[in-house]
Amino acid sequence: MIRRYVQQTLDNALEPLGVYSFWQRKADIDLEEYIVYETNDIDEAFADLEPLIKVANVTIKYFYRQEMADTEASRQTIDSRKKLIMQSMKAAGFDCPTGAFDAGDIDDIGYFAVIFEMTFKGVAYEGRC
Amino acid sequence: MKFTANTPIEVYAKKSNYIKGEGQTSEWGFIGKLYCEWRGTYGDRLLTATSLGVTDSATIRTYYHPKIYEALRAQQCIVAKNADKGVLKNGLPDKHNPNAYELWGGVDNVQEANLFMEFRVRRYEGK
Repeated sequence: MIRRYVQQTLDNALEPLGVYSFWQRKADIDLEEYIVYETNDIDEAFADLEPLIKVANVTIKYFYRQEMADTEASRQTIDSRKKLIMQSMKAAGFDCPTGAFDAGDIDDIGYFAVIFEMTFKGVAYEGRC
Repeated sequence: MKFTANTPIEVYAKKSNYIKGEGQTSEWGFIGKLYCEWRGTYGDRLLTATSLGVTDSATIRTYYHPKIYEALRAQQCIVAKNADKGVLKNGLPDKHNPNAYELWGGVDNVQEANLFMEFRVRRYEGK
């Protein structure tokens, strides 16, 4: 399924920067910034009861500590992370028609979130989704 | 502080690591074993606990153990009553095991003297 592909894409781009990516929920690791993503796989077009095209929807939430919004240097870090997430996912074949959305402290945990709604369309036999 | 420590308990803590390309991996590790005074909850205290959704709880008094104390303060822990090895099933806490408890309400290093600890636990029922 698409989950592993998303995990590898995000880790290749962001893990060296200390930004970890978690599926569905964050683990007990203390982090300044992290990503939580959810996936959704759909068989979109069929021929002879076999899927021809699959669509995967991925919601990526990039969380960063609230205090990072207090200085220009860290705000620029946040901007570069947003750009890197977008570029790396687009390079991996995802599309983000609505762009990145600043959502604030959506979970009331002291972290602000940026949300990306992405889609991936692939031919079924390619093995990625 | 006088108490009779005749109930063995074992403490396990959850530790998470991150593997590039895979995500997080969490496992429960053994922290330590102690003998404690185990006081079950009854009467008014039980009624109060029940109103909070807790059906089985206890107060533990034991000797200070720095590693266990730090684990109880900073990590998610499981307390195995009677040192029951079966509280972990396939590496995860077994919510059907009646000896699996979790910390409830913090841990006190009595008078900060590093001699005794006191804390409450409630039955582990998963999340």
